[in-house]
Amino acid sequence: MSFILNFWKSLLASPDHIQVVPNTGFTVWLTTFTAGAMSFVAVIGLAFSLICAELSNRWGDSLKSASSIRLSAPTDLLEKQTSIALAILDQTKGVGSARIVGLQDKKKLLEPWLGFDFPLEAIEMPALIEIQETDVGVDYEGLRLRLSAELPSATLDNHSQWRQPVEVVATLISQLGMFTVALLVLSSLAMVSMAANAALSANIKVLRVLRLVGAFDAFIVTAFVRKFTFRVFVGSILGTICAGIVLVLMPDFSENLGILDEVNLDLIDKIWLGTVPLIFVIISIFATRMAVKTSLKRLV
Amino acid sequence: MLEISKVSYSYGGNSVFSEVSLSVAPGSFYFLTGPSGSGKTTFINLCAGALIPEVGNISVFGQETRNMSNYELSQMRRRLGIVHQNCEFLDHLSIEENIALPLTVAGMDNTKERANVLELMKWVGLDSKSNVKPQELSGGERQRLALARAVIMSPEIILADEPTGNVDWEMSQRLLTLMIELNKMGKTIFISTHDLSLIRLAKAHVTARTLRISDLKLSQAGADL
Repeated sequence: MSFILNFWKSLLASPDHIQVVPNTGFTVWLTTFTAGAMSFVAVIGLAFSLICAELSNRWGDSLKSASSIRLSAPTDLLEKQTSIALAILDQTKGVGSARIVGLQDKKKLLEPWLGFDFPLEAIEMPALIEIQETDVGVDYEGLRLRLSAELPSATLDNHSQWRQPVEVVATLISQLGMFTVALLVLSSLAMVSMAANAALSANIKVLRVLRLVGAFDAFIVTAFVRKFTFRVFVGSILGTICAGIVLVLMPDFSENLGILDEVNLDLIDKIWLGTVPLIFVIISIFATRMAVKTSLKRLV
Repeated sequence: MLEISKVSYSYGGNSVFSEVSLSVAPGSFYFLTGPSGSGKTTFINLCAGALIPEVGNISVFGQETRNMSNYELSQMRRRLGIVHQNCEFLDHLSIEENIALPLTVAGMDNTKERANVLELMKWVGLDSKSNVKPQELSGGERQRLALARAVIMSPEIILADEPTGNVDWEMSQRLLTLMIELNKMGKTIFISTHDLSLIRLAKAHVTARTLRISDLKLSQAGADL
């Protein structure tokens, strides 16, 4: 925090450096607008990347620790077989909890296909037991053997046939998020560099005059870096605030979608989003230094 | 102080001058003449370190410009006062701030030097326009502003490239008077011009030597016209 404060003070200090670079012209708005627009895109992009990363983790975790037993039997035997299955699960190491999926849950699961008013109780449905593992894990091979011996009608499904593709998709989403963030940083660097170059082209006379009166290159670089970085910082703050407002105002579309419920940015994510203007400051320092040094080389 | 030794320069293969040599003594007053395109501006830029000679050496204050780093070139320019025909200023700053610019960039912008700025403004007759922006000045006023900015750091050499090129005769005389005053204060003056009447006027007041750029190849120290 003290580093940020010190940096901010040094940015505003030394008016001698700041006053030699003109404060007017289209380049002021170009730099500020570019930084603002890129910050807006960066914050939105980063927010979606973080949400996607959380979502993919959640998918992987929920599938990793969950499995189910399906019991297909005549209605009069179904209740007894369910009790036996629950007793077996109760004795099985690594089972955290076992719950019968009730009629309302089944209705909810099938609602997208059958509609909310379908009389599910009128048809014969298999019983479904949802199993949640502990960290120890379940010996599925042993459980499958025991079930086949004591409950031949039971089918154990540890979701392995679709866990792997979901995990692959989750990893891909995470990687895509990181790639998007890297792309945003690089494109921001390019945009800020272009804005700095455009501003320098408009101010080439300032460079010539400063050289003529004996300004050291370090003075000229510092003057331009401070002025541009200040503009970039202001633009970036505005862009970040606008993006923050958009994120806050976004409708909670994930409601009632089960796995998407409560997918939100946590405190760490928000801190990451808050670093965007600082990242732009670093980008600006780097890009402006390069641009000014290149322009000065061309002058001699 | 300023040594030019067998210097050649060309633009895109077109030679501007070749093997030019000259030795400038402290406190002297030189006019450099020659027709347009003869290389007067190039010569001034070479002396100011804005251009580096292709062949030969230019030594300013005992150091060759060819071997100077950008830092050393800037240090050297602080000891030179440079006035161009099309003088450039920072248009967003006032006249006073423009005159003080060399002090600002040198980190010497304290009260004592500020007093020098006000004195210089009076000297060049711009004291009533301290808050005016350079683009609001006439050609002659801009030249005087350039001169004031050039001398604020008390340079040892003043290099002026056609300083009277864009001004009328009355203003030319006024600028020349200022240059003569500087020379009497011990400054070395080096003016490129094609205005022979200005040279004649100067010679009535000061010992000035006139150099034809085409004659410099002979490596002499100033054949009077």
